[in-house]
Amino acid sequence: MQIVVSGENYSVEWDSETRTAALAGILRLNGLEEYAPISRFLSEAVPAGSMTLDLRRLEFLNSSGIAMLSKFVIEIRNRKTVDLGMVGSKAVAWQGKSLPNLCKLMPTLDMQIV
Amino acid sequence: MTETIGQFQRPVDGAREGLELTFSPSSAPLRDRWRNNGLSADFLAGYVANFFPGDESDPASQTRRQEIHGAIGYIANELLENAMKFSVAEASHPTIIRLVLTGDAVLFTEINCTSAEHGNAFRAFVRELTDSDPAEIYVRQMERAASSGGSGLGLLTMVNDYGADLAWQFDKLGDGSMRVTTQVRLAI
Amino acid sequence: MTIPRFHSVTAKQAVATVAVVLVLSLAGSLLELFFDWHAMRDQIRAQMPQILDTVEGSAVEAAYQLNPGLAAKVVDGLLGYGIVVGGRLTDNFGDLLAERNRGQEAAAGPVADMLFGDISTYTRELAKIGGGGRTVVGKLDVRLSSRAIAGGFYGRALVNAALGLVRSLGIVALVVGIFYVMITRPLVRLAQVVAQVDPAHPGTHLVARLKGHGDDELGQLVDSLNALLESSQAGLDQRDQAQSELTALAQTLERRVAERTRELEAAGEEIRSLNNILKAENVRLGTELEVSRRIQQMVLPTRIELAGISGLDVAAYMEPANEVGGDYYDILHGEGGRVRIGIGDVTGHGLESGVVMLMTQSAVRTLVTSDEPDAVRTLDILNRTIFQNVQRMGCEKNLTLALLDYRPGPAEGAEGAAGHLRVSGQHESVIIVRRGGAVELVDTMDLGLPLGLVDDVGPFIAETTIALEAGDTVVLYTDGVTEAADNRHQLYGLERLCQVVADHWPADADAIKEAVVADVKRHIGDQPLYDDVTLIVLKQNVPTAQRMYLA
Repeated sequence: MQIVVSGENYSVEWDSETRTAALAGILRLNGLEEYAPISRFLSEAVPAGSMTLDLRRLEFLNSSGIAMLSKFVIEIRNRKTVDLGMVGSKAVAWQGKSLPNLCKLMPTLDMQIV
Repeated sequence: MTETIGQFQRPVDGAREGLELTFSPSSAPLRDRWRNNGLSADFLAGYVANFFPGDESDPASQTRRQEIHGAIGYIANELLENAMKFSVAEASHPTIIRLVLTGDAVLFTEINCTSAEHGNAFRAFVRELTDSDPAEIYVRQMERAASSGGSGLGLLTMVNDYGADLAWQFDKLGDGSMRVTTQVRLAI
Repeated sequence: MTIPRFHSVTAKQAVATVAVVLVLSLAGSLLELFFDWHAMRDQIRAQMPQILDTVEGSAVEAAYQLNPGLAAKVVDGLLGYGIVVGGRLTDNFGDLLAERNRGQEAAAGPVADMLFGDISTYTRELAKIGGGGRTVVGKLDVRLSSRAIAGGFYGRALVNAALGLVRSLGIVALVVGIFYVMITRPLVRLAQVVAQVDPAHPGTHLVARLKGHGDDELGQLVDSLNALLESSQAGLDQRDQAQSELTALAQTLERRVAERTRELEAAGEEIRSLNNILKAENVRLGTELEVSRRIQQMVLPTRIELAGISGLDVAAYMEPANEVGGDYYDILHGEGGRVRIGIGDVTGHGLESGVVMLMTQSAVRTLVTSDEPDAVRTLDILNRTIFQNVQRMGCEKNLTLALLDYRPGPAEGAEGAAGHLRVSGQHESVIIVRRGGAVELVDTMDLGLPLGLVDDVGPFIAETTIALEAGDTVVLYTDGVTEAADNRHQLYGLERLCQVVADHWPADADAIKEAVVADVKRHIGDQPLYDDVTLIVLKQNVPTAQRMYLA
């Protein structure tokens, strides 16, 4: 695992073996522009194949963050070359509420809230 | 000139507890203020959660408390972010965020002044929101969010993900600006 | 006569028709214009809501979405209609979403404004029907160009007017043409033909029938005209005929007149000779009349005689009528101032009456001369004489006769009178006008009987005496005076006679006589006398002794 993006209260880690990107911390960035580094990384991480996004340690995500994730999911959907999976945690309140929506964007998304 | 959308409540009845935050947009740069969002949101979340201590031995009540905490925190954060982003620097009125606890709900009220342009854009969005199926508009907005700033998503998630009831009042002010009052009602 | 170009019937008719048709056409065009204007207004008023209906949906959406872009499209869409000159979409806060105006446009003229100004703005409230009911989301204002509307209207109006004018002129030409062919031309031709008629021989050139008008009014006109010409000709022929007859008649008449004249001349000759015979007769008759008159005048008292009577102022007048009437009077001067007066009237006229009168005069004189005092005997003898003579003559003549006997001084047994008069015999009344003018009448009816009537009048004679004072007047007259008639057969009358004498009582006898005569003459005027007029006026003079006393 290596930290590929980080900020004051957050970090993005990448495990190339498992092809898992993990977001951790609190994300309250202002608009998609501020989320650009993260979204760019995620987009470029896996051109094709499977990929997993681990959000279990992401305690807070604002709406812009959700938007960023949505945009990412749509892009992956359109790319059609990546099998995307997401992992969330029941313990983190927002995840049970907001993450399932992403499935609606991409039915083939493998969402697991553990 | 006033327009009300949704079930807008005026003087809140049966308010037993509440907090009010007031700030002027011009007094500090946005960046700096932005940092306060987290603090304020957390504070408000904690404040409300305190009214629902639950029982440490009851996991359900703990979960509930967590949920309330999370919901208040999220909503408060969104409202604060909106207030930050859309308050007009030259506005003569300060921005107010009020949180009130009634018997069965938490009622957020956010009042800020913005330009007529922003106000109208928001008004149009709100109209669309109220007209449409929240889930459908959520998806649509998400798709749209791909190309735009995605500010509307906050409100949508409140409705969609947290089951909050929203209401608005738009007042056209004499100086051409618009005062937008957003109400979020979260049943507890 | 030649008719000046613009006075001809066709020209007049054309002018009149043109004028009428133009006026009617103008009126018609104006009416059309008015209805067109109305229709146009109605059309726009109907059309605009429809236009608004078509954009309403989009406008509502634009306003609802507070979308300036969409609003602009809506407004642009409205401007696609030629008459729309401006559109404006506002939200429910009254803020402008989009506005568009069609370029720089010249202001509409006052006429256009008047015609269409009031229907040039339209507003539609935009409301969204949703779950929450009806919410007003904004307003759409549309402005029309009255100038553009009017432009269209003017254009159509002009076309209508032009068409109307052309149509009218066409109708005029047609009407005038038809009228000309059907009526004016035949009439003109007729007029020409009639003008050629020789007034002296109207029947020689009858008017030809008009083609195509055999059985209508024009045909009738031609027939009537021909009938007139023929009858005119007939009339002229008759006249000529009459004229020649008249000439023949005149000649016959001349001949007859000449004949007649000759006859008349012959008759005239006869008449002349007859006339001469008549004249001779007349002369003879006249001679007889002359003789009678002479007889009458012969024995009348003269003026000198009368003047010689003292004590009495006497005046006498006699005028014979055209036919000698046989009046008699005499005044005989006797001894001692005694005067015997006789007055009478023989019946009838003519020579025989004159002879009787003569006889009477003779007889009276004889008796007076013999100084017979008894009036009764006098009259009796007179009567017997006349009666017997008249019997012998075989003419039935008689006469009234009054005898008056005047002596100066009072009568026997009376006193104081200047004179007294004894009257007897039947004649007219004796008029006495006393000094001072009082009139007395002495009726002689009972004093006698007409003489020559019966052989014995003795029983009928009576006598009356009249006392006379100085200045008293006695008037004797015959009925020729009182029965003198004017042209209305009014008789002079006794009353008038008395009146005249009374009026002149102070005058002397002659003056009184003259006055009466003049008055009678005045009365009768230009009427002739039918009976002799005899008048005697006696006036008692102042007695000599008294006279000398008064002087």
